[in-house]
Amino acid sequence: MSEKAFVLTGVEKQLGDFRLKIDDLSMDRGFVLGLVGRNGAGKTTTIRILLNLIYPDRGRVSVLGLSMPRDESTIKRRIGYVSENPSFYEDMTVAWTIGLVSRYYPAWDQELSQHYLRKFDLDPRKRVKQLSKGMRVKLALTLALSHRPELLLLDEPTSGVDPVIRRELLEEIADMIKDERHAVVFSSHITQDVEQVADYVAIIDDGRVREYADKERLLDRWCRVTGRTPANGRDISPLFRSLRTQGDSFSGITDRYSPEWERRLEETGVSGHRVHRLGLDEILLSLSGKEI
Amino acid sequence: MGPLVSKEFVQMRSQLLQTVGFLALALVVFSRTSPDMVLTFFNVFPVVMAMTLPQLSFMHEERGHTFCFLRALPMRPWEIVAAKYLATFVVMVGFGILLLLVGTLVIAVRPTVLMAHLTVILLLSLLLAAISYFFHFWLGLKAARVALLVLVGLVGGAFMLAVVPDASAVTALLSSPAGSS
Repeated sequence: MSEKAFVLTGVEKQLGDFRLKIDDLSMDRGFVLGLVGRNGAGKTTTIRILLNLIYPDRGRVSVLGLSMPRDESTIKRRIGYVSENPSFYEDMTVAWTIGLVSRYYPAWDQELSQHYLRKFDLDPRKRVKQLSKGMRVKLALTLALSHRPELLLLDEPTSGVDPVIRRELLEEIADMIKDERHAVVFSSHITQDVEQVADYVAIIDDGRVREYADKERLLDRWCRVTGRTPANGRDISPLFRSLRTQGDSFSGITDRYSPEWERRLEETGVSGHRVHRLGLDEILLSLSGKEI
Repeated sequence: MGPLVSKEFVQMRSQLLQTVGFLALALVVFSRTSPDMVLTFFNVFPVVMAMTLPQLSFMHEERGHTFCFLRALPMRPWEIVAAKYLATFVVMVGFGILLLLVGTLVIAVRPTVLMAHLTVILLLSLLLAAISYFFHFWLGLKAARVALLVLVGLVGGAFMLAVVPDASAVTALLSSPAGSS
């Protein structure tokens, strides 16, 4: 199982004023990739391109070692998908919906589906229109997981659901990647969720992947450094992405923090400096050009 | 494809009940006094159904955002279209049989005449439904409505000119200045 979970190469898509442009984005199996970005940044478009729900204007899309759209049906049989607002036929029951979906997946596991129904406390006799948003997400998750997908695509699944369901969902994701054949792509603007479960993080802003790295390395690199400016007047701004000074104090953001970087900072003559790791939300804000 | 077809029936059910209701009303009101009106209704109804069922089906899908749900499944787009068309076909044939029974038993039209008449109307309606589904998938809901209206207007106009016994007189009447006749 050496093939990648997915590879996007030179993918471009114009949707009105919005343009998605991904030069290269890929992911190995056995990991969770968190797609982080503001609303409208391009997370949903990226996921929909992986599913061929949106056709890219150019570029190559490969999923589980197969080419999209050439092998669309084969790929979809091996993928699970939960959209931000799961939509089903309102007048139909949970059991009917499961019956419909199960026909299209040869690997559908009826026992597993029953297990999720019990676990999520879903009544198969209920009509979809009687389900709350949280229960719909649970139904979507049941449908997405019951054929044991190799790649699970979750588009903002935790937005608008209560903390209990959020926790259950994040636990399911963590359970799923215990088997290294599987992979999860998880998009969210709730950065705490991504920090909790993701192994890798891709930060998308304005249709571009601004950062893509191992989560821990990313969080190690991005720091806020505060201290007193050098008495000798040396310019320290080249060491920072953004820098504010007030009197003899400074506060700067760097995305290149390392012991070597800190040594170079000390050589400039700064004093009393302190390093604070940034959270994903602060990194996102900084990449968006917002002051933090 | 069975569940997809059954879902179409569930979505159409209120429209079907409404049509059966109109049919019953037409029968009660006109069957004794003016059977021709009932026959006119028989002629018009399949064409109206052929226009409205695809529109309703697409409206349901768009309002419920369910195309995304279907497209995420490993099914081919033609399966979605085929299920919709199959459901429409079953409904039209079912109503055709119902109309045949009503026409022969209640209005006492000769079965062979009525059957031949209904067959032509149903075939035309099924062709119209197929075009309507094609337009809806190709153009989307709003543009498909306009395209269908234009198409029906053109075909209807051509049909009227072709079958009206004295079409030239009608054309002359339409083209003559007001009051000159």
